[in-house]
Amino acid sequence: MRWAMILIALTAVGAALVHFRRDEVRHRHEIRRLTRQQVRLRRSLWDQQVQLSELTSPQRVRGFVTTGSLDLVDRTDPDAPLGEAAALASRVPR
Amino acid sequence: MSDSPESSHIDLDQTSLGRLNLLFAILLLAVAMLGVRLAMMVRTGQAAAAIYVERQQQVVLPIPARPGGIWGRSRQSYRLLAGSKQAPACFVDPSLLADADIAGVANQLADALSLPRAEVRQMVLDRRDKRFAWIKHDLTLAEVEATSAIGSAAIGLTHEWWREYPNGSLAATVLGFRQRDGQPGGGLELSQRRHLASKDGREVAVADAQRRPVWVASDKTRPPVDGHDVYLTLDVTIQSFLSEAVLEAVSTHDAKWGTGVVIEPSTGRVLAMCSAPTFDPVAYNTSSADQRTNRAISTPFEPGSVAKPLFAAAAVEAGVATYDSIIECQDGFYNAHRGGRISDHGKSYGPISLEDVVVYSSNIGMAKIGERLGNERLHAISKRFGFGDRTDIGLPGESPGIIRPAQQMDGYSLRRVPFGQEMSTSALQLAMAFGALANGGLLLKPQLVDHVRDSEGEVIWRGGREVVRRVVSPATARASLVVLEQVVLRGTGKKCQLDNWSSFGKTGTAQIAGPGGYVDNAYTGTFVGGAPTRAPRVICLISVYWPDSAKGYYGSVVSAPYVRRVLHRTLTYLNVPADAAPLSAASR
Repeated sequence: MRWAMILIALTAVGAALVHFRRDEVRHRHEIRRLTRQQVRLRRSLWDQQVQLSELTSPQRVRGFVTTGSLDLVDRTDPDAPLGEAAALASRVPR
Repeated sequence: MSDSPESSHIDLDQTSLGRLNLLFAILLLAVAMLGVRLAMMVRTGQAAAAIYVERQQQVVLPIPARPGGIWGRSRQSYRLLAGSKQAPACFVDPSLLADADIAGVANQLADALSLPRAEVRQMVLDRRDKRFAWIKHDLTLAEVEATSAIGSAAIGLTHEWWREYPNGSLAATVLGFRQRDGQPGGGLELSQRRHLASKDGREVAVADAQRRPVWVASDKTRPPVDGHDVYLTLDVTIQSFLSEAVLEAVSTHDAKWGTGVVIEPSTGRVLAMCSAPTFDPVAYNTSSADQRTNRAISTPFEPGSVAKPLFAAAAVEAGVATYDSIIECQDGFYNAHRGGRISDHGKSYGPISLEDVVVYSSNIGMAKIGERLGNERLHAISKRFGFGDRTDIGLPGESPGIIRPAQQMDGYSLRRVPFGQEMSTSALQLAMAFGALANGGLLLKPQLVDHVRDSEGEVIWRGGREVVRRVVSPATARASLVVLEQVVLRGTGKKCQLDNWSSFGKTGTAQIAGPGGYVDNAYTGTFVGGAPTRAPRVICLISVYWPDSAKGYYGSVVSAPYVRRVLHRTLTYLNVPADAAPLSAASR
């Protein structure tokens, strides 16, 4: 009877160890998966950061205004057409 | 032959038994030798063996860390001027391909990467005896997926760092560039490498026989450390104003080069700095060293008349004259004793005030001021304004400029240094010296980096206003500013008059020195101006080197109109209240 108890206890310990080991493997796998995902997301973030800056650079914005024939006047331009210059001058805070 | 059980027994004679014993002894010896070898390995080769085992059983997977970015101001926010991204690239290991497979794999790869088949085949064949051949850089996501789907062991995908400059050549000479291997090649990329550098992380995993990671060793895994982000005082919009103006000045007047600086005189912040011609940092290898030079700090030039207000202010400060003192200007021609002949460019001035000497830019008047000051004091004044010393702006390749040691200054120096000859300065030094007159007399250290943030966004370094020394008293500085305003109102700087703001400035047209003296028809045209006069917000300097003299070479022609445009645009952009009324002369 005593031997049977010991055997059962050892079996239980063995089963628990296998269970913990399986869990550990699963979690380590999850860590690895998340690390890879993190790397992918970071790459994507860096890409978007660069793209955003390209799209908002002064030259690019000026290009959009020109190619899009947008009716916009650069209020900082001292050589803006006369009518527009007068309007712009009135916008300079006094 | 007998069928009895005894017949299966092998009778060994004495010779055979001896041979068997010998064989056994040899085997025993071999086992013993192996045992000894094993013991030796355990005793002495344990460390090396452990390394072998580790190499075989472990795979190290790099976790990329990003180098820091460089950001420029834009009103209240910041814009990326230099940043990094990882781009996928494809390579082939030709040694893993059998001759018969090359064409097939190359064709598949060419289709996946949208490249000509013959070209890809040639790329592989050209490096047939090598282990590595680049096929394509900067792959799209679709190309990555198509390449992975081929499933050949000879095809590999990796990620390369690409440094991007989203604003193209804007502020390129200030930012510098990065080489293909990520090494900085000049400018802030080089000087700020301590902050920008990153440290890749690594993930260590136990691998199976096919080198597939099966078990991550968490204790050996190291997280990546991104570089710090450097935030500049440069304003992207003002930088674009200045770059456009300098490029136009250089191209309109067919000049060899031009440079410009915009500073905030009250803080020493550099708002813009550029050189023309310039270069595209992404295609740095197609540019010349000349294009990559930051002329604003590394190419000193003779300032000429633009230096006059500085020496005039110093003379007032030293008490040898006031702005109302009358100086005899010899009707335009002065033959100084042991000082050579000095003229006023065909102009004829008699006795005029020191204010008018500066306003009309009289060389003779300034030569007389030099005589009153003496060489010792002229040298000390030059040093006080920062000439001959680096500004320590924190960019590589800064020149201190050239001023003569006091003991080497002679009668010529005495009369020429006060109008900007026999010395050379950088554009930044000149702008900072004028900044001292504009801010009440303090020479400030130029500030280019505003603050540095770590990858978590925490500020780890912040710059601030740094006073180098007081160069003149507030009263002298204010009086000098009034005189500089008169230069714009009635002197040589009329082309810098602004519609909505009062302004001040000074022209300079300096001959360019060659090996045998000054070169004919070779000049540097400079203008430094600021606005508004009552409380100067910005100072802009533009210098144009060796313009085509047929198209104009005076500072008032090749630089002043462009400074005016930069000042107008900058003040409008900064919403500076209009202030067209001039600062009264009575306020001195």
